[in-house]
Amino acid sequence: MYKTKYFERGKASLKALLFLPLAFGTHAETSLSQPLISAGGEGSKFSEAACAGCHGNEGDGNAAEGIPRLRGLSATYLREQLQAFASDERKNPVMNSIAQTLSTDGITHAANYYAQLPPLYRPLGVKAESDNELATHGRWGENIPSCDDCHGPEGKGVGENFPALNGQPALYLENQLQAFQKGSRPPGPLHLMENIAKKLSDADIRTISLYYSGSTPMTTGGQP
Amino acid sequence: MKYLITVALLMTSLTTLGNGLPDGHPEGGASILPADHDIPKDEFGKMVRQGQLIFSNTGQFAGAYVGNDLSCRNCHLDQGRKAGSAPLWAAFLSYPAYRAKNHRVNTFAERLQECFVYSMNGKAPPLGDPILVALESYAYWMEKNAKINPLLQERGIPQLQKPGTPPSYERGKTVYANNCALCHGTSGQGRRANDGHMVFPPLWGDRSFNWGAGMAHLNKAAAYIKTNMPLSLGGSLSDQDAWDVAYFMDGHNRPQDPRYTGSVDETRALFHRTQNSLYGHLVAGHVLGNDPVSKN
Repeated sequence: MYKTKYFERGKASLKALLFLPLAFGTHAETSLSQPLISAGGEGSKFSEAACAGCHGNEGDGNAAEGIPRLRGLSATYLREQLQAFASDERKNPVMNSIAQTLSTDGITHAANYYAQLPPLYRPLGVKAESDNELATHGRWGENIPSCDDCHGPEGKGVGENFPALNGQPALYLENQLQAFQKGSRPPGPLHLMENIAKKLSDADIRTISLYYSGSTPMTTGGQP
Repeated sequence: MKYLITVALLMTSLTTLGNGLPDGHPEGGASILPADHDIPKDEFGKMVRQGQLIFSNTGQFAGAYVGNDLSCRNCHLDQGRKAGSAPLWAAFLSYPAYRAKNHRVNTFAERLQECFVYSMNGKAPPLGDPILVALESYAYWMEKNAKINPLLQERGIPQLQKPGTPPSYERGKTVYANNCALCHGTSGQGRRANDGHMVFPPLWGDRSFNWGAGMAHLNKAAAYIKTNMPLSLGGSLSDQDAWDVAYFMDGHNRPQDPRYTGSVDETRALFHRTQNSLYGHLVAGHVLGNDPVSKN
């Protein structure tokens, strides 16, 4: 259900993106030092404005559309994802088309730009202990570590290879865990995420995704 | 009293093949352990929760007795529950016991003290210290509320057969690069979360366990790695790979053995006279134990 929604919205976003140079044209002259996305030569350059159309200003993401927050993710991780989009190993119609037009430098610039923006975290809360059981304890009887074991306390991310989960839209996290299950994105280093995702039920995925998005109903902690 | 019950349960299971055990008791399978929400909401429960906090963030909650960046849970997985990672509840059931390491019968609390001295490269909290009481309470709560396989198959770390070929530093280096560096770092330094929390523990160097720790022994390290590493992929390495990478890890320098006499040779003769310890050996250009801070 969510996957379908994402792709439908995705198509709409792609259409919108094609008009971005117009939509952002006047704004660009005053606030952007980077040139807008443009075909030609060995590929297009990175455009903050073009990415912002979907990923929001400063890469904050879009929860309703399931579009990920990019700010504060590692440059290595972002570069690898753009390369995987370009080679179709990570499948997403919108991002595949965009990444395929980007030059190698364009990919590097995009990755570096979002990596240098400070991350934003959300307070995570739970109503019942089962709401974050997998996220913080895992299910070791099936050899599933907790998400926090690798992604850090409250999923704030560890180094270059374990991106922050905290604050990502629930819809995005859900889509990614399903993509790991189906092989529609690369399996991650050592196939760790493919291996783990395949042990998760739809309900597990929903619970984990809500928890890290900060949208689980809370009894403790502040509201984001 | 608890030991009497445990012994009674053991005897019952052995003599009647499980008849008379509580419903759901895993006679042949894995023990079933309580979940956090089973921790009672009373004064004892508070102490159990405190023990769990210390276990998970040892430097933060027992900092005075910790000299490195490790936490109990780094090795004792699933917060001291997981079979084959020397689970805390099974250790609780295994003491008092005679230990060749110090030639006497140790209580569980004394065993915990050793963890602080060697694995945590710190110093022993005094017997009766709230830190030890909290850890004992956590272990006892877990054991008391578990449905335990009477054979205690989960205790300790399963032994690993000797490798076909003697372990090799060079082969271990490759195994490490391919399977371990992702999390523990290319120089074994561990990795911190973006907010500063240590997430993947350092495996050697001055912020890791010292030469007196069990993990500084090749047989224990190889068995632990084979059973538990990489996280979520336990059992995936070959026995040979596990021995080789254990040799590579333990072939680096780490903090000095607290029993150091002033001489590496003498310390080796007294405490490391086993082929499972590389202390005092020349490995990759370093006499291990001679240079407590890793420069490898």
